[in-house]
Parts: sequence; structure tokens; C-alpha cells
Amino acid sequence: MAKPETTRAGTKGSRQSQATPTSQPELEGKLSAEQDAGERTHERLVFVPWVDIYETETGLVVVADLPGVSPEGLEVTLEKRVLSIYGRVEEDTPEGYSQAYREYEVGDFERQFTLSGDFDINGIEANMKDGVLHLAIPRAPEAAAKRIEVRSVS
Amino acid sequence: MIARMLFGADPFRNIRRLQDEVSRQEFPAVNIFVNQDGVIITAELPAVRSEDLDILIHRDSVTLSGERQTETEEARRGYHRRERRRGRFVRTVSLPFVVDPNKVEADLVNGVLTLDLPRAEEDKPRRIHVKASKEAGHG
Repeated sequence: MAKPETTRAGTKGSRQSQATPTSQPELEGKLSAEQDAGERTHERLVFVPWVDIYETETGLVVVADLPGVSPEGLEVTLEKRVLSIYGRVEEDTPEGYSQAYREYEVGDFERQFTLSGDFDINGIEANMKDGVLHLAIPRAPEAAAKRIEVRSVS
Repeated sequence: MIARMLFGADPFRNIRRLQDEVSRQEFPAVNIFVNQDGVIITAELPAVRSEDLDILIHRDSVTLSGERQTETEEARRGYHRRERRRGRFVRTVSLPFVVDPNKVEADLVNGVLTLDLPRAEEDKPRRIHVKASKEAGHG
């Protein structure tokens, strides 16, 4: 995660908590989001979606698994260099039924990334299909190729 | 049922227990909801297209199989993150009763599968009315 880790002041007698590596999760299950973005006003579970991020010729592509998020329930913002993804998921218990067995919890998805370099905010293309977000973020034109010639002083 | 007479109350108990132990990390994870008329199973299946999903129902078991689609390889110049899982999956779920395979409805919306499995009519519990005979009155 590109989010800076919050350092918690240890209370007296508390052991130093081990930092868990969240950047490369090994488990198949859902990863609960840390509430380091402040307290939420509504009681809701929030998970960190699994993502792929790769470079292309023109920019950056972010692919995120967001099962249960409709295109209307998705919010993508880029402020300064922080890209935020928030997907709202509806509660899944059908009416008139009671839960018999639960293997996964239902909650919203949230994740933030700090982008390096300049990107063209207006050129971002977002696509939702089969519960997968596909974000194409082009590099800002002025930042695309600016080669500085180094002259050798003889 | 003959199977009940031969194998005891629940012939699939051992299989189910074994399945429970093995299935904790299986894909997809499922949630199961019940009422007296049937079962609803939900599963998170991002990147699975409906044409790539196969649902097989046999008596009281449902098998989901398919493939998590991989996108067309564009000109990629290296990954910063690669966390999403891909590839084929198979998962079998046992149900608490026999379902009617002709009435099953499957919906795959926004990467979430909802399977509506109505209980088979012949498997539903029936209330037997006891006829009171005139002679057998209370003393």
C-alpha cells in the first residue's frame, strides 16, 4: 500500500506490534482496511481490494477486484497525487432468508495510492465490468518525455 | 429414503465435515442463506464472465467451476502490484436438502453470483393430519 503507515504511540506495557506486510497479501480472503483515514460516521466493514498496477506506453493502469460494486456505487478521485478508490457494496442477506453459513463478509472497498510523477486527471478512463475496475491513467503530456541533454565538458 | 436406511441419518456427514475442513481457503468463498422454501447461495466472482461460469446441480450439491478471465496483454512495461488471482476454479457446496434443478435461477451481477435454489417439492416436509376417531375419546 502506498499509504504511509500510521505509527501508533504504544501505551505503557504494550508490546510493539509487528508490522504486517499488506503490499503482497498471500491469502485468498479479504483484507480488512485499516482505519487510518479517520473514523467513519457509519458502521460499515471496509476491505482493501486486490489490485494489479502496471505501466503502459502512455501511462498507468490500475485493475481492482470490486465484487458487488455497481458503476454508480464507485467513486474514484485523484487529488494532488493521491488516487482514491471507494466502492459501495449493498448488504447481501436476501429478504425472508436467514443466514446459514458465511465464508466472506460484505463491506465497502477502499484503497489509496500515491502516484509518482504527473498524471493527466482529465484523461483518466474508468471502466467497470464483472466487478472489476479498470483505470487507465495517462501521464501528463509535459511529463511524458522531457529528455535533458547532458553536455560533456571537455 | 433407502439411502437413509442404509447409511444412517445423514450419509454425507463425513464428506461434509471433510469438505468444511478443506474448503476454508477455497475459491470462491460462499455465503448461504435459507428459508423453508429453499436456499440462496452468493459468491464473489470478480472477473468471471457469465459465459465462463459453469453451474452443475446434482440432488443436494452444487458445483461452481469456471475461469477468472485475464485481460488482453497490452504493451505492459512492468508491474507495480500483482495481487489479483487468476485461473481456473472448482468448488462444490453441499446443501441441506435436495433442490429442484429446473427451478434454479442464477444471476451474475457486478461480479457477485446469486444462486436461487428452491427446495424440491417431494423433499419438503409434510404435515400429517391426525384424524380423531369417535371411540378413542378421553376417559
